[in-house]
Amino acid sequence: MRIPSTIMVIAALLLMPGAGSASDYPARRIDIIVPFTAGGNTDTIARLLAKHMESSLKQSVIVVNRPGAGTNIGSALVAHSKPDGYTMLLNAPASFVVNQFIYKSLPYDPDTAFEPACVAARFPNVLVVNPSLGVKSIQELINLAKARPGKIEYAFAGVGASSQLSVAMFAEKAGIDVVGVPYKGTSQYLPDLVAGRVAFTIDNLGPILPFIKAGKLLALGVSSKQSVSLLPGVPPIDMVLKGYELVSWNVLALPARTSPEIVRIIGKQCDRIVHLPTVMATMRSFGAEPVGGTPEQAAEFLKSERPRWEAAIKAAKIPKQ
Amino acid sequence: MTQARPHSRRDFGTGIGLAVLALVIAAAGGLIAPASWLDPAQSPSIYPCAALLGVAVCGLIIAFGKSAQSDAGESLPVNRRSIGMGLIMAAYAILLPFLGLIVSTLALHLALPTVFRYRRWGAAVAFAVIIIGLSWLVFIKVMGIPLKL
Amino acid sequence: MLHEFLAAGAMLIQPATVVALLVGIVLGTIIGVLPGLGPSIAVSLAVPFTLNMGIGPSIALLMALYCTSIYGGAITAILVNVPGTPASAATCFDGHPMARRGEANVAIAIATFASAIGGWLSLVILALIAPFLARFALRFGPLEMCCVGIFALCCIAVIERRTLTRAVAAGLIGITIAAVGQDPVSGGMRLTFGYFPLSAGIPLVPLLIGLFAFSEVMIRVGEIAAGMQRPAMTGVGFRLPNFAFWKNAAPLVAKSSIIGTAIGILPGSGPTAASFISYAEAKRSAKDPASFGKGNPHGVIASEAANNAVTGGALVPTLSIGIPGDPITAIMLAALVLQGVIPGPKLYVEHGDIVMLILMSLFVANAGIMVMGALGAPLWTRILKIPEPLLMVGVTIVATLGTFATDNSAFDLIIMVFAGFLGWGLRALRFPLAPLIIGYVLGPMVEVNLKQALIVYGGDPYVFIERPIATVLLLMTLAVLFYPWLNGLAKRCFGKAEVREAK
Repeated sequence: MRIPSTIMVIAALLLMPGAGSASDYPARRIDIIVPFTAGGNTDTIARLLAKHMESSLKQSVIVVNRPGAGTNIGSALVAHSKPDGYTMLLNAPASFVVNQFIYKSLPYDPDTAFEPACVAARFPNVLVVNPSLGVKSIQELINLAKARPGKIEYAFAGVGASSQLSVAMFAEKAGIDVVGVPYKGTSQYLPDLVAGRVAFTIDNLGPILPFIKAGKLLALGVSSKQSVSLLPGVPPIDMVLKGYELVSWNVLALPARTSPEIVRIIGKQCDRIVHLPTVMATMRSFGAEPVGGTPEQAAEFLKSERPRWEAAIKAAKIPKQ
Repeated sequence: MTQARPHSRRDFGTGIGLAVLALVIAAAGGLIAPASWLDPAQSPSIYPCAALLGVAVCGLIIAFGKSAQSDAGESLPVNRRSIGMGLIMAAYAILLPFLGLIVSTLALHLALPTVFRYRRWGAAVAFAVIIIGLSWLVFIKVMGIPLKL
Repeated sequence: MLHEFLAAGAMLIQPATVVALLVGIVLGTIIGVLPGLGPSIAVSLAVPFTLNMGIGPSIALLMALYCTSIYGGAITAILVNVPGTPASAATCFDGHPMARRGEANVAIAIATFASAIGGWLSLVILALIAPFLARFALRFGPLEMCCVGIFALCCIAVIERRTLTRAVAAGLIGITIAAVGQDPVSGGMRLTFGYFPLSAGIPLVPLLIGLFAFSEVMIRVGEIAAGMQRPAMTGVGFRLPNFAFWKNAAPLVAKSSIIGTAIGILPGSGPTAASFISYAEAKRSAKDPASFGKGNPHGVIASEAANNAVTGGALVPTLSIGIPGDPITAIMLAALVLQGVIPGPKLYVEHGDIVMLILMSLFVANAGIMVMGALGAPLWTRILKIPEPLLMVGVTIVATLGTFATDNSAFDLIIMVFAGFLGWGLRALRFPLAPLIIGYVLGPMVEVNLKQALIVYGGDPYVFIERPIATVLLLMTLAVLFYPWLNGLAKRCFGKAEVREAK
């Protein structure tokens, strides 16, 4: 009942002359929807963006957390909101290139529902093991898993999360059989990983970094093609498994049919903010790498990422929900 | 035990109703899928289905069990006015985002003469003004929730 | 250590920090009082402001909001039988009956005092043995957490001994409601009936507001219509019971605080579970369990000391190993990250002054609870002077707005309406609501951990031999379940001395 009426509203607004005109934009409050609970990487980046947009656009910019259903709740909210530039989405790959391969029916079409404005940041994933496992390199981990098929467990932060897909791709390329233990989020599995009840994972560096620094977890490899400055001496997984690359990211997007000028204004803001020295320092401190760029580059980027994630989901053999 | 008779008849209805409702929800929600229960760790349905079956069993115990303890808990007066108030509140909650704060809140005050038989108009108007003002201040002005006035 | 203490002290007495503390204490209490708004919304509303503040004021503001918003819920629970925050649901049971017999001032004073002491005791535990406790908490894996959940669920049986079947049914209904939406383990949808907004599940705030506030208004209307006049409620002000009362209650305060702290430390459980479990334990161990639910001040103490003690407990893993104990501390961690402090296992070593400042802010915030109670109670209790019809309309408005404000979601209001009729129906059919909330809060914890344990350990029962904590928890569960029977057995064996007490 609600969706068709929303579409009617959108259609009516599109027919109205001058709807969402860019000349006086922004004239009121802007909401950035984050489809995760407060406190994660995406939320933190959204708050950095909101803070700096607020001072340069002279309008309040609010971060709204709408978690649930594998980020679909928040994404659908933005997809169905008026394309006037006052509601936007900051999300990980899930709502752009992942969920269409996991969910049978979505209330929005990830390929057409959004107008990407900017790639805010990339998050290289890191392969960590509990030191008690006794492996010191990627190859040793693979050898151990081959010697004990179906016995080594890894933690992942929910169905379709980048940790699940990263490990699935790793396991496929290495030809190993490992068991996934699902958790509700990174902070939920960290105690079990640190205590050695699960052996390893491949996930965003941010929340894991303090444990690597404290020696509680051992970093074996990173998921990007280049090594990461925060982890000197940790090789890319690509060195052992040729062609392995899966880097998570955040894209700031507006609903489809938002006027191109508004998309450009937001894109420019985002590009400028992620390159501010203080923002770059804060982002790097939790393992995010600022990216930036234009809306066209963001659209290109999404296109190039799509097949990569589709392959990872195939490797994870997630049944369609 | 003579006193317990009307009680236990009510318990019978409650229990049977509860059991039937639990089973209907389990069936309609697609939870009865024994094929997936073979792998309990990966089955989405086994846990809520077990809970609903538990509800059904409790319902049967309530319906057919000894009602010796049924005097526990106070009985609440169930009457048309309490249900009317429920419907008024439901309308208020559902219409609030569409009608805005002032219109819907004033409409809610119509419950005062109808449901509560409260006819001190001066106090009611003063109260309406104060509560709308305070709600506007706290929720719309300070917290910035997207609600029409 | 001394150096860090002095550095933190210097930060605390800066004017900006003092102002932040005061603002946090006042706003936190108000947010707690408003039904629907609780600690998590208080903290997440504050995060954007902290971006423009220094680290000292940021921490002071967040800590003050955290403590006082949990406390504020008790005031609404006592005065109008509507929990101001989910954590104060158990405070309704005895707090409101006290207000009904004209002791609202005493009930608020007791809740205030118990909250502050609970907060302080948990702070002492946090300050002295946090690293040790955090290491112990790390030994709680899926199997142990599953056993903790089952143990806590069985407390339902203790709270509601008289209406056991109905209580169990209500608990199972709560578990079912919590299961709506996406299964966190397999990702499959359940009980959504193909309706997309349900896939995010039923959130706690609309459920709770519907069950308690909405149904409360309906019931009062019913009572008015049936001509059941309530005695005019009196008890304006703030009246602390005498020393003899507190001397008698001291062991209960200590026990409830320890329960609250312990539950706060374990990940995945929060103040709501803590207050219910503490209440159950207080009722179980009381000399006169039948008086609970009828205005026994000890019920208020058990609930309030425990829910405020969660603050210190939840910060144990947050500060000493960098893993948040609940969603609220997760938001606070994010605020620290934005301030350039990366929490983790080395926080104590690298940022000792920050840890000290957190402890000091908590200390002052709990003192602030006392001040807010003493100064605010005369004001709050005036709510009792409002004519009942107006008060009921006011509760409807504030509860609806509070529910809407949590997520700005019109769908949440629909959930609230359904929960309201459900709550009213259950209460009319004499089902207790407490087990439903306990089931809702703990059900997912049991399910997820059980499934994780099944994946990690397989179906191997020998795992209990390797994991003594789980075994102990399971034995405790059995002891709780068979307590009356065991008690009876003990009495028969050991004879007269205890029979007198049982009477």
